[in-house]
Amino acid sequence: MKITNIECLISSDETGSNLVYVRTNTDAGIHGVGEVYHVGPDRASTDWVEYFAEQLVGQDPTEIERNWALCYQGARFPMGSSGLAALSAIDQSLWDITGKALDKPVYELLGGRVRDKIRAYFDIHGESAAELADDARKSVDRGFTALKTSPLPPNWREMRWNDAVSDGVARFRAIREAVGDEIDVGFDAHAAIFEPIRVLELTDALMEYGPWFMEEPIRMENRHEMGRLREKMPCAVATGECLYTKFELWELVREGGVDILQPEICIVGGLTEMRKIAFMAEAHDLVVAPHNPMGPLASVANLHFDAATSNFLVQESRVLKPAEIASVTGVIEPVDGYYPLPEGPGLGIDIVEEELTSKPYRGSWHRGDRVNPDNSIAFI
Amino acid sequence: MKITDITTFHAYDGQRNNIFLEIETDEGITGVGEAYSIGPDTSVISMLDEMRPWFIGQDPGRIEWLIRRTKNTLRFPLGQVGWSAISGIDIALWDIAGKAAGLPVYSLLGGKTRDRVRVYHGIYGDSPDRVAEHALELIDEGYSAFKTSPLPSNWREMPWRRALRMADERMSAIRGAIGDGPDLAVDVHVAIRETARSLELAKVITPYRLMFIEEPARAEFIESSAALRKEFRVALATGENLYGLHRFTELLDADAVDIIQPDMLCCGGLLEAKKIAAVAEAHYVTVAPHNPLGLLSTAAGVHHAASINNFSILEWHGDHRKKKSEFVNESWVPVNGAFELPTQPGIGMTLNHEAIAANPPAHWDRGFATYSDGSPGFL
Repeated sequence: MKITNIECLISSDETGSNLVYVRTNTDAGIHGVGEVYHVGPDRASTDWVEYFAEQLVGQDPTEIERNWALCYQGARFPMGSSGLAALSAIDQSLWDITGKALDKPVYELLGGRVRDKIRAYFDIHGESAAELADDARKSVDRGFTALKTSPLPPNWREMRWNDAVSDGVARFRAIREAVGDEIDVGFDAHAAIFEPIRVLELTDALMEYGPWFMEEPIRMENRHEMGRLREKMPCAVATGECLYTKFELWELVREGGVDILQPEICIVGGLTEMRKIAFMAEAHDLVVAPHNPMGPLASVANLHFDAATSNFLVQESRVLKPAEIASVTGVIEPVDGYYPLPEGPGLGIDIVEEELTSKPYRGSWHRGDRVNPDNSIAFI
Repeated sequence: MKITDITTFHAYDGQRNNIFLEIETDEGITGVGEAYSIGPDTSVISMLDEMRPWFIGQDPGRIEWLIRRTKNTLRFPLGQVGWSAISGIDIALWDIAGKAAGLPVYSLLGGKTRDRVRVYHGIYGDSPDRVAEHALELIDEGYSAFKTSPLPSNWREMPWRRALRMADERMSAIRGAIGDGPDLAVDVHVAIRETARSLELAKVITPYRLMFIEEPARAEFIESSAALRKEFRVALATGENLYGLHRFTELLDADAVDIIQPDMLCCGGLLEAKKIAAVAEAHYVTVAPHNPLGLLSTAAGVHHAASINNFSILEWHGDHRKKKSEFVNESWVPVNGAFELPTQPGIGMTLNHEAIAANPPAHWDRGFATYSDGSPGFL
């Protein structure tokens, strides 16, 4: 079997967010799909897909390790977000092809399934503590046993720090009053707090209600500082979504900067790299909770990883938008707090091309700006 | 598909014993594996017998789950008996998976990364000249990489400075005969306890442009290897004495190694080896699998090597010329110093039951080494 071409399909939804998919075609009539992380300047990723495709056409798609090295080593310079996003999607598509060729779900090519169902946590939101508690209760009523939210109110940047911390504690108290003591509640500071000591103050204050983990407690650039912070953190540190490849995740592990690794399958280097990161984590007695804010295709790719990985902890999940649901042949949603195992062959999901062409690309997606009260630029 | 039985085989090859196993399934597919022959081999067979009911009735495709639950139920660190048993089972499970898929095992481990698997050949002889002659014979056969002991076999009984001088003469004779081109490695075989002495030896032989020095420190204390590597200006290879992902990661995290040498028959098998290779890759470390046992070990090593990007070279001892080659039905012989990749489904080797039955196991042990004062040496 040979790769005949690789297409990048890009589409903008009603909110201005982009869906970027890859479809790898072969001379055997089998094709595979993958999802590109939409990093913002998404046209750059489609250029990368074309660039990699020039090298991959004519290669055997089932030689996944070799094809990965062909792209990675051929780029020479660290390729950064857009290049890795493209490589990640192509890698997923090669696993999809290999699974289809063997008529097996991808997880069966990864040493087989280690679990019967896949625990999910659900992202909850609320402007006020009451709204947040209400969202928590609704999610628990749907069967989720694990939730995640911001540790601070949405407008914390405009608040005095101690007030923001007190409000964060009040929000957590409201969640506990709504759902009880036995629901796992993780917090995502989203790499938005610059000073490590502030995170420590915040987390100490939240400890009364038993946080499950604190995610991206500080910025991700400096792995050494993450390690020093974790030495003092009173709860588990979750991080890793902004790190690239096993090499950067390894730096984090070496610095002792993490309890729960959160690699992103659409940017870390794909399923191949997710596996290697999980092995390294296993060797350090660490667990993996894949980051998952992308579309339904990325979710399914993650589910195959989750099904086959012993040191998997929990899968991030969120509400999919109508355009995302329409863009694929079928989505997998959690039931009673667990995803069912994905079904093959391959990833078991395909692209609905008409949906993407009917919503053509309208331009790069921008995360928006955040500023501090003095109009200096905040982290987002 | 369900596992219906696990059968063990034990055969004497004239030098030591080989331990094989077959896992049978209800779909008529049988997988073959080999476990490390550690000396007290019957304990490995007993361990496999103990594990057997944990596998009967299970789906052989759930390799991670089957091996994980076996390790977890055993709870205590496994040691050589448990790791050997698990490794043999893992290899047989991959053989089944490959046969079921109609693909060679490497195609299920990420696909092939290379077209052939280069080997180095052990070279032996009573004298340095004889070792050199052996290398020259093998060069004529197409081999281009070799490994030998840097020290004479009776070094424990002689003054250390004489042993060093003889190491120098030995390397000089071999390099003089084969030239600087062929890759040449040496194996200290964890026999030197004092790192200072190992360093002295390394300094004497490093000028002979070695591919690596193997096991220059004892394996129990990883810091010894780390201390040596800080000083070495030659590649440090080690790992055959280590089991499993965690122990290899300790070695890698300690900056103690340039080339790891997991043995497919006791490191935990092909899935564990894949994990180990991934961690090594993140440390810029390559993999040169240890491979002194049966032909199935070579086959497992070839599949592993074919599936990883950071493979270095595979150990090989010309086993197609030895009695143990009778225990399998297929004959794998390197061409121009490298194995071509197998294309048959699974591992690509099957057991010759008649030959195995005709060579019942014999007592085997490694023997004992002693220093000149009669105290036990390492070997």
